[in-house]
Amino acid sequence: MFIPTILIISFVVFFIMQLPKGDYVSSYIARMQAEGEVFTQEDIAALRAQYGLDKNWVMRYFDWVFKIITKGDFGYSFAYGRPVWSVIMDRLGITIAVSLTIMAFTYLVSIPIGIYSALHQYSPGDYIFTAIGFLGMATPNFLLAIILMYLSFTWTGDPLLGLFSNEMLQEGIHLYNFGEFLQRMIIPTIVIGTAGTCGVIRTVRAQMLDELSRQYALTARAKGVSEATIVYKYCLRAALNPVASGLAGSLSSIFSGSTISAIVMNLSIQGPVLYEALKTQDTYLAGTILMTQAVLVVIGTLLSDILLAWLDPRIRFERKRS
Amino acid sequence: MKKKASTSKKLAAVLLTATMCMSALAGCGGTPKDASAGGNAAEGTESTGAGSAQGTDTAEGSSSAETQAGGASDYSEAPMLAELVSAGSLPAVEERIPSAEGVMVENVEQVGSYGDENIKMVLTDAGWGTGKPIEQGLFRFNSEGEVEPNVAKGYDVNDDATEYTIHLREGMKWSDGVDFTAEDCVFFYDHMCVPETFGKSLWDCFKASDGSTATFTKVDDYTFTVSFDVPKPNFINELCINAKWCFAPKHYHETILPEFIGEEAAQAKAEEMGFADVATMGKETGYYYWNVPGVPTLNPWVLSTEPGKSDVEGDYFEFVRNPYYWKVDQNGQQLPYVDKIEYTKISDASQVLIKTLAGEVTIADAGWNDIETLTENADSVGYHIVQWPSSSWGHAASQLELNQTAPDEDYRALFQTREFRQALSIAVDRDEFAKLISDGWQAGRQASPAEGALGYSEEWATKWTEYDPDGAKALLEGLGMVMGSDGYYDLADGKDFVLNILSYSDSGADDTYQVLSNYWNAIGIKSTYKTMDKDTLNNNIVSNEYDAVLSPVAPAETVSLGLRPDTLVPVRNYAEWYGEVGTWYASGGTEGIAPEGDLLELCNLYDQLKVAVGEEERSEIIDKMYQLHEDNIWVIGYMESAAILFSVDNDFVNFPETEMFSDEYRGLGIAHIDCCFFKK
Repeated sequence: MFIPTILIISFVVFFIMQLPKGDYVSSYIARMQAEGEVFTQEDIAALRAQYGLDKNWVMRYFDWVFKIITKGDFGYSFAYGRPVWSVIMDRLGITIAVSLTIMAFTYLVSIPIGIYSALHQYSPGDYIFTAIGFLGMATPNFLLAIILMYLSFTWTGDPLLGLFSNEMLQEGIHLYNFGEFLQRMIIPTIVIGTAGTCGVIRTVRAQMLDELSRQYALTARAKGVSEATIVYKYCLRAALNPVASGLAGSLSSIFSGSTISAIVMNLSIQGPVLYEALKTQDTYLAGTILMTQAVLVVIGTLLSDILLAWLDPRIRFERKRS
Repeated sequence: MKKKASTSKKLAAVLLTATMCMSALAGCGGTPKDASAGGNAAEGTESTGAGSAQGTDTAEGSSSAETQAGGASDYSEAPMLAELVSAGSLPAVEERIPSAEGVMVENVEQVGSYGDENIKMVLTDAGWGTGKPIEQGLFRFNSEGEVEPNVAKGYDVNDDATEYTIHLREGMKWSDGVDFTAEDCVFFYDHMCVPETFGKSLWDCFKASDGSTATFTKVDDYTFTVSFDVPKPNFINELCINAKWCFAPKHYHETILPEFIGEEAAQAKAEEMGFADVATMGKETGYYYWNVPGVPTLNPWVLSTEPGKSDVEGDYFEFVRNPYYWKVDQNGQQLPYVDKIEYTKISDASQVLIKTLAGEVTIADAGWNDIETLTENADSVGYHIVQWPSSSWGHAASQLELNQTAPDEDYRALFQTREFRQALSIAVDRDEFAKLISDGWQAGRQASPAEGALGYSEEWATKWTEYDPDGAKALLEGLGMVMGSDGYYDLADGKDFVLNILSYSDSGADDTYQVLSNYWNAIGIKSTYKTMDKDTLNNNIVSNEYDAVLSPVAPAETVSLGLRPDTLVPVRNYAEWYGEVGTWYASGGTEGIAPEGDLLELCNLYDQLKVAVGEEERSEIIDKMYQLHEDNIWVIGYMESAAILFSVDNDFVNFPETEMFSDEYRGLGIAHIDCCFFKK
């Protein structure tokens, strides 16, 4: 099932990407003309031939897929003039680091809050967290980013634009400036992280409430099992099911997510690369990123199934029974 | 409106004072200080306008050679280079720069000093953005639009303008220390331009009027000739615009081009350098060479080769001083004053403002829409706003171009009448229009040469700008148009007339059309408006499927018709107003639509210009071409173009307060930032 799914996705991706009028050459020429460069019709035709854009898109698709399968060659990015994978690898490390931090933040913040809210349903604390959670979800990320950057600028004189200070860009990241790097992670983490927290909070809260009023919890309580054991050993495990299955999608967003926020905050992660590639119709780069995301969704689904089976014995038993 | 008027007056005043200072400087060229700096100071012909451009230069250079012979030890260099010299890893400054008679002396306004501070810039895309500010051509334009020697020391031309002898600077070196000689120029033409190794078809500047191409011949190490079969009077000017630098490091390209190492080895080389194929490698190393680490250049700064600082697609990269740079200031200090240019990538152009307010940039683009924020914070952050006039004939989104070869015969005939264009022009209340569109920062105006550019006249700038809707109606009726029952004018034969306007997305025409259409409605001209992708619009233009374009893809713009006529003379299928006439001209009359009347005259004049030898004859023809444009107003403009704004660090000295911002002058290039330094 895996391979046909990927193939179909890649075909659809390629098809959609060639839908807009124009191609990489036309967007390249528009950009260079804006800077005063002059192109004759022959120059343009030569450029198209050089990039292989004079061929039909179906031909180009099969060429591309053929090379991927036979040589593992994902083609060259037009804009970077380099192999697609080398462009992606450039930012892969930092992207994963940022995404994992944000994911950790999301879960570390939202799961305890969800539990607290469930245990103290309709308490002032529940209301406050719920309100903050909803605000976080309802406020567009980029707006929150702008507000936080503005506050940072007015208080410290530094808008904390980007993940690295100029010094870090020049000297590289070392132990002595790692603290500053972490400091610069605060805004992106809060901005992108809060968007996800609300969903998790609500899910955990609802699930917990459900589980807490289940028969088995009642029985355990009647038998005198301590409240903590009931909550953390039994109910929480069951309540985390939907959260775990939600991880499937996260894997691909670790690879390339939060594009708009990343642009606003000048984060050098994968999202803006994909955005730029789509805008300039840098087909192979955009195609590879999108396809990798698709692969990651498929893998993510598999992983979350495994995780679920591990987390929830009921699923394992059902399998065994059948 | 008032505000703007005063700004442009101020601009003019600044320009005037600047010119006066320059002539004063030029006048005192013989002071002892200058003599000690180098007898060839005048030869340097900085933007300060001292000295002349043409051929005379060589003579001056050689006569001053004697006075200079012993003065070599007067040169000094940046501390970072001095360290390398004393460590023995770099030759002494005298051995790195050209010989005394060859070295180029820039008469900088304020003599600077070396310091630790670096120039900081931000950008979204490297491309030309990193190239133009540091680009060094064989010749360059000064602020008056005249060509002056730069990499070349000067040139001679024979009487019938068929042979140009170009003199180079003795002892000049590439940034890797290899000699720069005539070989490098001949090589660039013979082995790169002609075989098109960098993806550009041979430039017009190398083609004579009969279609034959130039021949480059090396005379000696520091002299080469460019000869043509027939006279090529404007060659040096065209060279400046088309080929710009016209040289390439032979010793470098011989190691990568397929002609020398074979197709296979070249492909391997390309892959090793990370390029997809030989063509990409050729383009990047041969054309956008300044953005490829390791390519020797003649620029004041060259891209770093240190990992993490050398990738122009990365978040950060820097250009470091070229130890072999061939210019000195009048005190003999090797330029540039500043060690590095540090570039930081931003993901969106709007972040320039944030960087500016945070004081993290030395020179940055500034937008009119941010002008209030920028002005408010200027003093506290420590920058000032510099305004440069642009060479545009008017605000691009307020330029209306009617296709002189419109597909419909009736429309075409109508568009070709001056009266119709006049009617559309005077139908608009430009004061009100400009106020609405620019919040009063810009004033209404006709499309015509920018103030300070060749061909400017106030009369032209105000031609057909008097708001007169009744007059416009009278003009339309004079053309035989009749008012239809729908309240709009129809063609004489009763056919509905609709002005179908096209534009491309984000061209700015969405706003201008909304306002303009009301004025046109008021005089009974019905119009429609459609935006499309720029590429689609380009296709429409190529296939002549359009009537009119607001905010053209190729808006009227040039510092001089004689230098770069593309948007104003039908040289090829390019600008919207002349449509198929461009195809006609480019094909030598075999394709496209033949022009008539004044448009034909314009083409003929351009033909004459291409072979005109005398300077006087040339300027006479150019004047006539301007006159034709003024008579016809083929491009209708409604508002002046906004000045180009930069925010510049207050400590950054010698950055010019005003220069014409145009591609011909290489954008920021004319600011000569190699002569700028930081106040301590």
